[in-house]
Amino acid sequence: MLFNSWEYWLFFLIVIPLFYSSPLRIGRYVLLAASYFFYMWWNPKFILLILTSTLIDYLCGMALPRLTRNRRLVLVVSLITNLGLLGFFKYYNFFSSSIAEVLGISTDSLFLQIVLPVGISFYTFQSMSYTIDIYRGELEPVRSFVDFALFVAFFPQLVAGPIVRAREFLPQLKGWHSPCGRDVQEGIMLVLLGLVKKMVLADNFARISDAYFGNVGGSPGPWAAWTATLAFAMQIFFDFSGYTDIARGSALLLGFRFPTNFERPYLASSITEFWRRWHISLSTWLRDYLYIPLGGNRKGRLQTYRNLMVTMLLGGLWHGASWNFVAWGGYHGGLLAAHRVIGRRSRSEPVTWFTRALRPGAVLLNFGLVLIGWVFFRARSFEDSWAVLRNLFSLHVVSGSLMGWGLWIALIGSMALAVVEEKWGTFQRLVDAPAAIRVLYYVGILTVLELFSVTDLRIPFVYFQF
Amino acid sequence: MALDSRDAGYVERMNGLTDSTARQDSLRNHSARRVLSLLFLGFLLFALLEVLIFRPEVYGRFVEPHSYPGYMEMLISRERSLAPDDSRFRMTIVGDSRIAEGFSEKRAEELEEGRWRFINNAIPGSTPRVWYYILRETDPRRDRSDFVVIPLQDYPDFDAFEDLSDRLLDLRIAIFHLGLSDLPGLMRSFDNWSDRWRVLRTVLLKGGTLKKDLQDLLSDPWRRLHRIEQSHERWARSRYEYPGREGSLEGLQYDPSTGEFVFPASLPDRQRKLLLRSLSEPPQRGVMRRYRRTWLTAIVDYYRNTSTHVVFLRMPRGPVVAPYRRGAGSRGIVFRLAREPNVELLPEHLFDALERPGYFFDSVHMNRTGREKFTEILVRTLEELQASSNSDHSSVNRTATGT
Repeated sequence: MLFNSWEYWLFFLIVIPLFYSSPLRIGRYVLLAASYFFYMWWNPKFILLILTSTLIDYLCGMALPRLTRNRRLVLVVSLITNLGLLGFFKYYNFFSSSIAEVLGISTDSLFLQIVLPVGISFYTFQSMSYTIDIYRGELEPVRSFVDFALFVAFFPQLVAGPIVRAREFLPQLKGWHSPCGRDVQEGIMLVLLGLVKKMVLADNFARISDAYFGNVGGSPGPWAAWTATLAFAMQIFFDFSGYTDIARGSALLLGFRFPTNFERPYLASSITEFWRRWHISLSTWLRDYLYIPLGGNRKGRLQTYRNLMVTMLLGGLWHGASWNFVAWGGYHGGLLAAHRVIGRRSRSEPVTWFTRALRPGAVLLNFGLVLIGWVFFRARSFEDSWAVLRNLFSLHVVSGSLMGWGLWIALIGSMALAVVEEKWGTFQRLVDAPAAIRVLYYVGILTVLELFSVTDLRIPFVYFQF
Repeated sequence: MALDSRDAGYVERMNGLTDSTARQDSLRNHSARRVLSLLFLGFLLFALLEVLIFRPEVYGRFVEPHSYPGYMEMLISRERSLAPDDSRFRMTIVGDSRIAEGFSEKRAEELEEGRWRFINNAIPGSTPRVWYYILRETDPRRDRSDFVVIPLQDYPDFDAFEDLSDRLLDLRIAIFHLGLSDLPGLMRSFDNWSDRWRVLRTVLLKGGTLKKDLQDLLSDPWRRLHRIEQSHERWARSRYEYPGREGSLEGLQYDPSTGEFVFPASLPDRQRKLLLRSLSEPPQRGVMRRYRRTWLTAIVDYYRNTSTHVVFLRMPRGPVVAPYRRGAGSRGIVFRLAREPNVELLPEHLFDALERPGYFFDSVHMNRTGREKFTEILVRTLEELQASSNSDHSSVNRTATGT
């Protein structure tokens, strides 16, 4: 049940009146049942995994405050359960085939036919953060099993985030009140914006990147490589941020506010800033539950670089069981460490008109570095990654741009809109704008959706595979 | 738990607004009911905008001429360009690619030495459902033709492998001319609910169906305008002058007793498969009967109480004919329609002599020779029909001499 399918909106239109027509104590059961139904639409069997993760973390959460000894053991049980599920379903074949290759034995002998349960990377992280927070004494355990189960499985964020923390969600559930008109307005606008990002922008860019990365040798030369990589950069941003907008909008319409997950990341002027703007719920999760526990930046420069590298390598691996994702993570870890080295000097310099004037150049440079990283993320193999990188920096101009002028306009236009949003926060202004402007927004968005969306191909959300 | 603009959370947020007037404005601005009303209004305006853009007089003029909807627009455009005071006896034939290949306007007019006007309004891939809309749009006053000829594959309502009632292509061909009043009948004529939903969506919001065409137009408007200009100039002439396809299936042999074929060596595999398939009988479930009852009746009803005669004929069915189609089968709906005063049924076996490999270039389409023969037989038969019609019905004003 994809967010851009009729099934989802039919489901949502059934859930809304059911939820709003019941008192909250029943309403939370309605939401939980709807969330499980939503998840089981893909594969009913995998509901057992969510239930297992939910039950173990609920029990661990309940046990932790009562214990004075063995607290660490309880936490380990929670971590092993979640990481065990994630490790087996997502990484077993990856590691077994890697080991088999190192040992020189047949990969078939260790290979298992495992289907990756959708959303497992998201809900295991979400559930794990709950027990870790209780272990650290930062959170009280929730008494109601239904509330906790709903926190883990709430359908708008179940399969691809944002990774919501218990301390953000549970108080909203406890003190739930019907959304005000402004929230309804914002929710509807977010959903429509998300649909345009996914169905119009991401899917049209996907046609270019899919064609190129599906047959890297087919279009040699730097122009094709740059435009295809650019197309993928746009695809993955609009795909994931569109998904997040729909998730946040759906949640708002049910009376829950999710944190933002993207803050115009391609306008970042450094890689550190990029990670403060890109997939924020994951990067803050990694910071809070991995980077800081490793020591963060408190144990000297070399340790900081090591911690950055470990965090990003694991962050890369979180995205998918492939060496390409590890390389992508390592690349970003290296950039973060390098920026830290350079940043130590530049931080001490005062902000002047000159440094401000340099910012567009820094944004462009940073965007270029991010683009190169996407090659590892998108290519099907290391060989393909190297081939694309060679093409990017090749001097032999063979083929031209793969993007038509329509996509160039979409790209430049969306960048311009991002700059406007960055400077003036136009989206929130739009929510509060006079009625005529809001009606124009609807007319514009619906027209763009109707006339420019990709409907002949079913392009899944990129992050569903993670 | 109703949606309420004056709940605690909202008031909390409103506390951020110190100015009480601004707070009141914001409350008024964002009641949930108002928000939903604005969304509804936005949707209505969007639908209105679509209706205005995708009208035949607006976007229909820019649609790709060599597309299904473009083809229909060219037919209508040609019809409008014909002299309205042309008093010659006129025959209009509709149909699919078999008629586009099989009937020659030019040859027909040569045979009649210009006394009759022949119009071939066939569109490849079209079905009786589309023919109804073609006739409605090209003949809005129901007085353009003396004979409207409707070709049928068989008189009995044999089901085919393809269920014509599910053919969504029909919507695409006639898209500019489908209005709200067409919705009930059009939706009923599709068998399943997902198709009916598509009908509803296509009729109400045409942009979804035409978006590829629009995107193509926007990608290079000058190329499109050039193509439109060229096509409208050349299309009618080239259609009129088109002599038919060369090539034939001469050498094809079929033994009905054993079911064995001898194919000409040059016949491609795809054609061989199509020929073999044309001989197998699909399950007969009465689907075609229902479909024809709807759309052939609609055509006959359209011309009821007019001077236009609706003429049904059975096409040459192919270079070989499946044994099951040689029998009478279930009686067709056309036999009932033929009882109507303005409906004629040409003899069922009129074109049997053309059902030979030498008159076809593939499994269903007539070649150049077949086209000439078919045109000749049809014109001669219509002449006779017109003569008998004159003698039977003195009320028919116009004559074959055009006086």
